[in-house]
Amino acid sequence: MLKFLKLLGVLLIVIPVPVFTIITPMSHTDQYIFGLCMIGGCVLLNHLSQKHYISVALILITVVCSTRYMYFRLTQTLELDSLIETIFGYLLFAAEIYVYCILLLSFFQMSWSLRRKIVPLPEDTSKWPTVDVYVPTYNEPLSLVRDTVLAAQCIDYPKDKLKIYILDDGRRKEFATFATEAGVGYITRTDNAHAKAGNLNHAMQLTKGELIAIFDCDHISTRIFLQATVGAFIKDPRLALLQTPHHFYSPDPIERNLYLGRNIPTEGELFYGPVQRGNDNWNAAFFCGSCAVIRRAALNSIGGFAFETVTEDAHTALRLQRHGWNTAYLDKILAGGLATERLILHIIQRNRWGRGMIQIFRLDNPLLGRGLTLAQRLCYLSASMYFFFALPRVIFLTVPLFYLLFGISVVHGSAELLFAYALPHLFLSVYTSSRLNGRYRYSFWGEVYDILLSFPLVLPTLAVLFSPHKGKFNVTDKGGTVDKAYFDARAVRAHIICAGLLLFSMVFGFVKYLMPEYFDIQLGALLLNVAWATFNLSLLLAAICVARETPNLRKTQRLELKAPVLLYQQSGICSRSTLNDLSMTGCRVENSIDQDLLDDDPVTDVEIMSDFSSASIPVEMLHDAPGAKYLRFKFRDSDVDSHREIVRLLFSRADTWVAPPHEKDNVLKSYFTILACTYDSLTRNIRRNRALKKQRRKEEAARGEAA
Amino acid sequence: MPVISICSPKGGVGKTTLASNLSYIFSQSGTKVMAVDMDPQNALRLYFGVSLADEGGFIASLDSQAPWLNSALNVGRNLYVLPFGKSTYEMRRNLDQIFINEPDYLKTSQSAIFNAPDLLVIIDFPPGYSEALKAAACITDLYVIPLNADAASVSLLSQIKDGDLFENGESANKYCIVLNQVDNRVKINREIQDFARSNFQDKLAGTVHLDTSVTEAAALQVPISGFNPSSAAAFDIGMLARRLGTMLGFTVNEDTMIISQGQD
Repeated sequence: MLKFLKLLGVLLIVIPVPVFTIITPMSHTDQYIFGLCMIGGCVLLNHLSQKHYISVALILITVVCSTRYMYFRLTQTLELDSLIETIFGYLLFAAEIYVYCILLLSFFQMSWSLRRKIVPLPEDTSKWPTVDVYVPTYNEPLSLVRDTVLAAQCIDYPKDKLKIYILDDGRRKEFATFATEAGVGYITRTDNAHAKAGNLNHAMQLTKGELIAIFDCDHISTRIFLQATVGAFIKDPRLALLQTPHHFYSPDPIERNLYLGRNIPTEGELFYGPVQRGNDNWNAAFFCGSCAVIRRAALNSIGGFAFETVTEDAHTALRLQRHGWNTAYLDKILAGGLATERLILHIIQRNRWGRGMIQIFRLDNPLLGRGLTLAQRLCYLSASMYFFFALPRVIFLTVPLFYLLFGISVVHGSAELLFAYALPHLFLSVYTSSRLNGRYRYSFWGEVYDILLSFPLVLPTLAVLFSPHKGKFNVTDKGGTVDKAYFDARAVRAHIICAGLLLFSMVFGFVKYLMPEYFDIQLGALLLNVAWATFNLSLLLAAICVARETPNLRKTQRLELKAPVLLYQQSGICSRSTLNDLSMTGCRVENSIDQDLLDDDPVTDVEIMSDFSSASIPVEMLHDAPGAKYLRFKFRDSDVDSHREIVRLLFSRADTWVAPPHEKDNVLKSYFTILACTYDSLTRNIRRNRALKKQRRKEEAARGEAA
Repeated sequence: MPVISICSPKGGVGKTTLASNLSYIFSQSGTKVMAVDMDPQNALRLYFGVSLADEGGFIASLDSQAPWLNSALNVGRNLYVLPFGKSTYEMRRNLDQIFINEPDYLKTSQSAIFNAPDLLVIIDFPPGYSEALKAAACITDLYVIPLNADAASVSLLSQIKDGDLFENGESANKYCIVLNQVDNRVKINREIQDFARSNFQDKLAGTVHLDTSVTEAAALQVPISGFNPSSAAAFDIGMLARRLGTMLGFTVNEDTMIISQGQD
């Protein structure tokens, strides 16, 4: 009781400080001074130290400044004149409320993150639980599923405790044949009810493992996957789920078409870093459908995987947690997969995620119902609300148009005052996020990702919001390639129209400025809107550039690997050499054989030797000039055993996906990088053509000389 | 200096090839090596460039009681070969009789070879059990048993493991296995290697890949590396030599493989 009174006393003294900071109205000069002081203070603090309490202080100051802005908007800017201004004014304000909520939630999620360590397994293997590995597939090619299954077989775990199953909803004969050859289980069913969740639930009836590890059919596991994850389940008997990151070794469309080789964190890194680690701190890490281990007993207690929504993964985790089970997130990349390879597929995939998360919001809202702590509710709320971003994003993109084209001002009051209030809010929310997550997401890239998805997602997400029971599961196509460059206008049609309107509105605004006698303008408002439109246009252009699909011809990963090899020639001569690099389709080996031995006696098999295994693979020798430094080989179709060895060499090592962290973010630099990426993408063809012409001219000149 | 006896219950597993190539490799690294042929087939000499017409050997000197050393041929720097020689049934029976009557014959009467301080002796035996093998028990420091990685060798492997191969019980621990003519493209080959590796562990001194460079080189009477410098089999035998050196207590220089110190 005394403790409570003390706490109450402290709160009574402390709370008025931020409250008064938030509600005290100021003139625009005073507000400028206040804002600049806050910004200056934060910049100073940021450079002072990297300590966590400084980050918390920055978060608090940012929250105060943002809340002050929102309070100002609420109390001083909503007295709008006409009906139309009122409608759009309130729409804009609603969008801002959404962004404000997400900002608060994300600060809450990410302010304390849990860096979980691997729990080692006990020495005595008899205490290790049995594990079923599920590889669900529907329409993906066997070549993709095969590597995943073979890699799963290479996982270090007692053979009698590890069972691997292909869950084929496509009921394909060649999959059954492959399963027999490889020595894994094959499970199929008569219908495809409830898509992936139904497929998993069906398999659960037929297998018995205490734990279930799930790999989407393109997620190739490293050999330590179970060694790194299972220990946690022994330590915590109430642990239902352990999720690990989804890592993609092929570039996603944004990376390929817009980064153009720059070292920028990819879209997923923020989620599979600070977000999930933060969730984990509040015991709210959630299931992402693949690269995770789940306890069967926990699943049984909730009646199996949730199938009411199209994102069965997050919903299953939510339901588990409502029943008091714990979840965990281990931030170690233990498997690698293929990213969606085209923009349109990326949009289709996000469309499903968005609809699913909104279904959860409507059908099983984390704020309501039993069994969750407040922190868990907030984390799940943040996740399920995230995909509402589409409409607010479109509103922010288009608002400057109203003023510039039609003279509708959606915010009451002077532009100077609005700017004075908005500046610390906008600057600090970007700046603080940059400090918190700068290594995982560079500033303004989140906006580009969201803008890219915004127009295509508005209608589907709204539709689900109003009728959440509709919604079909769609499978994301993977494993294909983009063969030649093209512009996918279909995916960004709305973006282009919006960009055109923005450009036109800026010109129109300039005309208005030149002809004050015809138009009634306020310079401040005009400048503010033009600046806003310019900023929008720059990010919109970046998003549009993603639709410029560049060819992605290399299907598999190539690994530089020095290992001893044996080269078997047709005559039976067997020579040693050193491997230079390796992929799923072929390899390159240092040429160690005397040329006179090689003539008319091609190499027919290559054996790659490593510490733990060796595999010989039938090859076709590619012909190079005699005495070339390397011999190149293309793998012929080989048996399952040698194929497994290639997978083991390529993907199974514990450090397969270890990469150095990204450089720290710099807010301004990041914005200019986006501009540079856009510029490079837009001028790519011009430069390529120029280079080609130059080369052609050179060749012609050479030919002329030769003649 | 030590004596290595290369023997096997089975014929055609590459004993002579191993004996000649090991001798060659040790001599190259600076050790004085004597390769002794105990096999009446008298084929070892051919691996050292001795002509087919030259049919002399120690077997002819048994009557005259001249030391065997007189029959040895110098076939390279640090490298000597003692051919068996062309023999008759009588001569071979005579040799067996000597071995039966004088169990210490090799150690005492032929001490210039088998008890020499600075000579590494590598003896190539005929397949299976022989009186010569029994007689060599008192001088042998290490039995090297080549086997093929085929189904027939599996039963032999378990026989060897039970110590059944040698009558002389004390020699049972002084042996090692070499899997010869291994072809990893064949599944049963890989499986037998796994079997041997898990059952014999340290006793498995090495594996030698199937490589026609070996027979090609033998036909041309050149060392394998002279025929194909990258030969897998040559590399494997090199590794084997290094391993045998370590087993016998040599200090083997990693790069040049010079044996710098003999056994005490």
